[in-house]
Amino acid sequence: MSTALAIDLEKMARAANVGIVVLCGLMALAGHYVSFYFHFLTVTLIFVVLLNYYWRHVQTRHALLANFGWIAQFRYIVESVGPELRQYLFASDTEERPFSRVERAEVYRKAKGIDASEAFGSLLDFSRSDIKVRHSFYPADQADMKPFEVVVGAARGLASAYTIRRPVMISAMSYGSLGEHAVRALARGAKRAGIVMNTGEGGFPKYHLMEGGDFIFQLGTAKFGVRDEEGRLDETKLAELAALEPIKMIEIKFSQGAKPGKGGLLPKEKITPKIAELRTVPMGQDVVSPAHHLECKDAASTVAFIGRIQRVSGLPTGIKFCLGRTDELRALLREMKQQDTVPDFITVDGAEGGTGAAPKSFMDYVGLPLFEALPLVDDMLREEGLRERLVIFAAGKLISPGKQMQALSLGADVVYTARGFMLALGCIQALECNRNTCPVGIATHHPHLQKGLDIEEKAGRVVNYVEALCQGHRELLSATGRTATRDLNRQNVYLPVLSGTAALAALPNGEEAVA
Amino acid sequence: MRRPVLTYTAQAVAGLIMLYAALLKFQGAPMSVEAFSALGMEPTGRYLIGCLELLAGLMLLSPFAALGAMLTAGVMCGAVIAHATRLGISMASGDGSVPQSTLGPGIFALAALGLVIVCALYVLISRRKELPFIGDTL
Ligand SMILES: Cc1cc2nc3c(=O)[nH]c(=O)nc-3n(C[C@H](O)[C@H](O)[C@H](O)COP(=O)(O)O)c2cc1C
Repeated sequence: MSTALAIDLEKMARAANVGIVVLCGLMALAGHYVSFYFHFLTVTLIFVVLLNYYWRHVQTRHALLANFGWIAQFRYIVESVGPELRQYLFASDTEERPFSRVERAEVYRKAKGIDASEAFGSLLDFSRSDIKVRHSFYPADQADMKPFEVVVGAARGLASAYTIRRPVMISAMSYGSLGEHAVRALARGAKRAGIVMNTGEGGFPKYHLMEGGDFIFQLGTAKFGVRDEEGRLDETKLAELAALEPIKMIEIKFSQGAKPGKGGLLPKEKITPKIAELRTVPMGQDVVSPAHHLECKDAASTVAFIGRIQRVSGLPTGIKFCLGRTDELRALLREMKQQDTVPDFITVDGAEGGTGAAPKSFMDYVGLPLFEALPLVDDMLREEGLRERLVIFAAGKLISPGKQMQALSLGADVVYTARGFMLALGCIQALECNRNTCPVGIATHHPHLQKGLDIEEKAGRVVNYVEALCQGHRELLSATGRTATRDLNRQNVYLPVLSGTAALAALPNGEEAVA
Repeated sequence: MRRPVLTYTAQAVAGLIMLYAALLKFQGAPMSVEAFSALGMEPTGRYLIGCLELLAGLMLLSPFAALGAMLTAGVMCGAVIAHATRLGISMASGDGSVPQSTLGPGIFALAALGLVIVCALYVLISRRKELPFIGDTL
């Protein structure tokens, strides 16, 4: 019988609601005639009965509780612990998002310096086509490998041109979205590993500078740290900041993959004296991060603004965006040629990027994913003859050497990762970056939560992670038969023909005589 | 958001009385021993209730005041049941040899009981949102 097992929820609820009253009465009798200890239960049940009365007959906000009473609570309780249960017990090793357990475990092991080899076979689903690295019949010898080297600002002949010596960098994460301990651990690790770290749009990088190292200062749309009262650029402040020795480059942020085209609001409650000082904003009023730089309204004003930053800072200056419309990018590139003002680097952020906080619809539905955008930007730069005048950075879930290798083959010169380094710091993907409750003390300002994040210990993890990534790069590079990262191109990746990537596979730059 | 002084006052009053009540239980004050003997719970029940009172008192004076108030209300509910069904009002005098003394310590203890109940309920109501699990629905 198909109905035999069906549960009549209403009947059950009625029985449950009457049941607790009856049970309470029984306990009262038992307390009186058998042992006074029964009254412990009587009292508990009195509470439940009262609460249940309130749920059913007084409150009106929760329909389920009003209709069914206390047994409906089970649903709320189970639902509230659902994410944890799924993460701990039921999610398979490869299905969690944004990063599956397999992906996270790889970073954890690298960060802890544990051997990351696996046995028996891949856990990935090979019938679902992913991009793969293409190896060569003739792997290169480790001895022939050339050291990694990318010079930013070389095309403009800058004295301040900066040489990047490792293929990985720490992508923008502001002080504000990260706490002080996390920032310092990252900065200390970056310095030791010899990699560049982006400060994020959190204003004056006080905690970064405590550790020394090489930084890219990010100029967000609110220009925190270098703004005047109206939120426009304060040239003197920028010049002062750029003169600091550890600041090596400037990145003007136009948009970010997790929330392209979206500004933000820093509510006044969150503006502590510390944040107000570093971001140079007043206390006691909300501060708006506009969706665009106030100075930039079209291609002409945008390129002029880039030129202005280059002039004022005297440093290699680039732009960061998540690709939206290609026609706009084309117009922007042409305007660059027109004004003879070319940024020294372009950071392409994929729509899959992370964030401290963003509206869900922007995270999920706006912007082009990295592996779509990167070849488009690369090609367009070639078509406009600008590719040799700048370098490309790429970000978007590039947390393992394999993914990074793919990005490097699809057009990137150097890769960025933000969340890879968060995982290295011990992020457990609790998805609470926006609530100040980060259980591992990374994305929080609570002193007691940050206490668990030991700066020295985690700086070591950052170094281990970088070393393991670079080791992976060398091994993969050798497998592709190349001896230098800059020799990688689209020959080195297999692009499955999916609806979205079909066009990519046919891109002309993929063909090249095998060296 | 400033929490009204009244809530903190109520927490302090209820919390201190609960701690004092716990102290009496642990010391084995004659009044307590007698009461728990009459309930047939001497001495296990006396210590058990003492522990609960200690816990409730500490919680009322801590960030877990909402839970503390709930626990207090529970223990006090038990006390009311005890007085209503077994002990009667006179037992509260704590002096078995003078059974009908309705004034003095008895009245004092009863007043304290009433005060704790009022304070605990006030705290419970004003902090109901902080209760785990059910807080959101209240
Ligand atoms: C906690 C957090 C804070 C971030 N803050 C910034 C920021 O201030 N400015 C910015 O341009 N991008 C910011 N991002 C985006 C990252 O820099 C990066 O572009 C994106 O997360 C993609 O890299 P990933 O997938 O390796 O994390 C942030 C990301 C995270 C997770």
